[in-house]
Amino acid sequence: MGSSLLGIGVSGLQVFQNSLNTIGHNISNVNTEGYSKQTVELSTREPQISGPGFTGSGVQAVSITRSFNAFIEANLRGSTSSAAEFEAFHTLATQLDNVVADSDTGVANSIQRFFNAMQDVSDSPTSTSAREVLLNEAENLSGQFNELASWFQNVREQVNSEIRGNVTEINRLSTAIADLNEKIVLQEGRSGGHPANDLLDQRDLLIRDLSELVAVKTLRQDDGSLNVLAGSGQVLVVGSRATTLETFVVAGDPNQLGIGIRGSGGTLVPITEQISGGKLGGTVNFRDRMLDPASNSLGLTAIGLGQFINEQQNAGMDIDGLLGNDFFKYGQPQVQTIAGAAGNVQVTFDDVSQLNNSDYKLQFNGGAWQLTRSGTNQVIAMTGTGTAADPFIAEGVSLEIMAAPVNGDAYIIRPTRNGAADMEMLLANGRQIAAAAPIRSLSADANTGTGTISAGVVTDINNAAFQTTPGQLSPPVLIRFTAANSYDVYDNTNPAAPVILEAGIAYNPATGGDVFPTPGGMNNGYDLRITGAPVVGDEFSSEYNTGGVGDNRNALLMAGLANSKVMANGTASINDSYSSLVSDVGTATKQAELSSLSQGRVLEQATSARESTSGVNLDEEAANLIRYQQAYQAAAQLISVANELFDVVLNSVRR
Amino acid sequence: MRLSSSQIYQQAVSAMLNKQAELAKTQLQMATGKRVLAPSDDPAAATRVIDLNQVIETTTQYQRNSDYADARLSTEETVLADVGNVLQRVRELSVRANNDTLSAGDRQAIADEVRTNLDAVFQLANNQDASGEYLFAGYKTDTIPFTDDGSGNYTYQGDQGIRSLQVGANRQVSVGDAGNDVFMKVDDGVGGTINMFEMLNGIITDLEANNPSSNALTQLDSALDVVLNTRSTIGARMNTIEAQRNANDSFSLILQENRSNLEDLDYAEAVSRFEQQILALQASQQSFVKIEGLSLFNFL
Repeated sequence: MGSSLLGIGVSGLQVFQNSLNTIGHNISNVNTEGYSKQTVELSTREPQISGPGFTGSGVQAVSITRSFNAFIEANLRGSTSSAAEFEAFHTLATQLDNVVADSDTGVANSIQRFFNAMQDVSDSPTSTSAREVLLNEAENLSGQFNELASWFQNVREQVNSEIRGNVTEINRLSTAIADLNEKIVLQEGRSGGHPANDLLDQRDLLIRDLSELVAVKTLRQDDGSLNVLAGSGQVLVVGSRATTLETFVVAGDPNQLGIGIRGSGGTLVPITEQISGGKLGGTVNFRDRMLDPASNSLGLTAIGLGQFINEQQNAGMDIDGLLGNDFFKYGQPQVQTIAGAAGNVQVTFDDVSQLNNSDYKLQFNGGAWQLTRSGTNQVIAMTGTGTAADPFIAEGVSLEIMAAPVNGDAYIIRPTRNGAADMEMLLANGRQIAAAAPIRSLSADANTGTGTISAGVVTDINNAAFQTTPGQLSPPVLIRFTAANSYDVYDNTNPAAPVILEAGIAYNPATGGDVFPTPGGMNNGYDLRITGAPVVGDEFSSEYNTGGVGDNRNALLMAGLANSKVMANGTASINDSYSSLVSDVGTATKQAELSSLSQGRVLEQATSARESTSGVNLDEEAANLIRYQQAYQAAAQLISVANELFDVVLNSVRR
Repeated sequence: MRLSSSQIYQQAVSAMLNKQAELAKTQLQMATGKRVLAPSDDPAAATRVIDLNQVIETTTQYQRNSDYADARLSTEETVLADVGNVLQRVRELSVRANNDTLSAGDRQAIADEVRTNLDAVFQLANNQDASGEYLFAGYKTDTIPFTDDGSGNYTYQGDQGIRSLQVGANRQVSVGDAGNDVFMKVDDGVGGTINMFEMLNGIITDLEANNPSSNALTQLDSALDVVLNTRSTIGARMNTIEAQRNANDSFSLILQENRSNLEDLDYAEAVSRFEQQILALQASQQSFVKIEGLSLFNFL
């Protein structure tokens, strides 16, 4: 074509046409997610050497490129992962936050109403209606624990379905990215190395979607493909091949989903703990750091309430004169086998006051058992040898090893997880509420001294004195003063002929004294205290509280449990135990909310940076449209001028 | 900085959404009157509110217990006042019976009245409260406490238990007295004790024999003493309850004020915040419409 004016004009027309097309492409994709603004790169065509030197030969389009900055894109991916992680955590957290302190769904109110009803029974222990109200409140309380536990369980199922959904989505995206890798390599090769802009945008968008689910890193390959890694280097995409993630049930617990990757040998390698960032990381974090401790804390409150009310109820006497039956049933420790024989570790509560909301891992390695706290992996010291007679004891839990283990045996122990879910009220009717104490004390009407005897407080209901014959004290005792400072203790089973048990026990009228344990070591499982100055012949006695239906001593003790520091090694009451759950949930939710907000800001900035570089601005495109339209018109004018010049030549030779 | 068209749009929209969310939250706060809607709004306050609720509810329960204790002690006080009146009447009769001018028939008439009085005391001692519990049976409140074998021998069937009620966090008050302390331990004037019923029976026997004993007045005085002393301890306990009730009331008031400060909404502040938020939302809506209308294409 040479450096003719026509050629130059045509080159301009072609190139400006191309530029206008690209502007059109930009305008049309102004709302396309992930689209990067494209520009036609122009340069001069190779000039020709002629007489005076180099004569320009017009314009050419070198390449169509997209406005893209790899650093900004990587930054955007990172902030997308973080924002999605905290948002997922926060969304799940609010589900606990909204229920634990609510007056309808929380258990604080129900606990309060139970203890108030207990006070009403203590006001009027023979009132059938007060007892029925207490029974209803107890039923309502255990129901409320069940409800909240099942809400927690719902959230757990939601977590599992999130995990499953996220993994499926990750696999879909990985496959799509691998496909795009293949296409990009092919197309760029075919075009002689021009960037496949639209495909590149699509791939970047998919990777950004992927980073919303899990934090990823990318490695650019020479052929134009991108390798994608998740977590701490788990390969999701290599070139045109995608690896799939799988979910699996952890240690036989259908409530606990793990994430794994198929290794080369076909084995599933667990990578749950390596996963970080994105919705998946946020969901797993929520489960491990908030849902598990909260579920355990709820169970802990239920177990504490159930156990301490039961202990006191057992130490009391119901309206029919029988020792109290258990008031509540609560969930027992959960044991899951990771490796080894199922059921080889039997876990029971040793001392509820020492329990906390931890889960544990018990492992047999190098010939010894080791207990570690889940999450922190802190080693927990155990006493005992693990036998039935001398079980391992740690943090309020007793562990018995049933059969010889092998190295590598491992169990997950969750002492309080089921505490609330399995709670039940056990009493059949209001008569079974043990409002009375099973003993009473008497001072003989004929006493002439000033001595008095305390009403008596049960210290050990399992003492033979209470357990030998139901509904009786074995034996009732008679205390007879033989001097102002000495008394004898008799078995008063037959008041007509008391049998001496221990004689000559010293008494100090100035201080008074406890009857049990006697100097001879007799202990009948209750405290009895004599004070004042009895005289010779004065008698005191203790007996079973037969007919004592108006006694409210045990109801008062049960009601008093509301505020007794019976839990957490004597540092927290039952109420405190629940309010610390509320506080933990509130604080964790608040933190998640703040992190989610600040990560949202960071994401906004990263998005702005990307939009600033790659986004389409319609005003800019309109200006370019005018510019290239004018240039196109000018180039067309060149052709018209060349045409006229050619006419001049033609006309000059036509004669 | 270069802005993309979709970014201008997105930013304006998300700003409006955020403002709407803030507005909705303020509106919910105003509807419920609560500043703390979930623990995360203020974890420390939420926990404190739970604790305060518990103490307030428990204090309310103490007031209920106090009402109950008060009612039970009032019943006992009324019964013992009646017993005192009856004994006083018997004392008057005994004084009159000692008058030498009285005939055997006069004394028989007095004996008859004393017998009515004995029945009255016996019934009062076996009195039941509104819920059917025997007042003077100790813990054995559904066992009739005093029985009579028909030949002038009276036995106490109750025990020595005294029920206490919780009327304050650290205060229990006895809401009764065991029957054997009130009715079974009258000084008989000759170095022993006698129960009130046998004492009255003795007076009747002596009157019927036309031989009133001078010891009768001594015994009656000591019986009246027992009743009076018991009544004064009841009065003291009722005063204790009243004092505790007042303490509970003011304690509860302080706690409710604390709770209100923690969780209740400051309406003045909320309303002005609400107005500001509405203004901000309106401003961003108007500016959105204006900015979205700007385009170079309008001039092509």
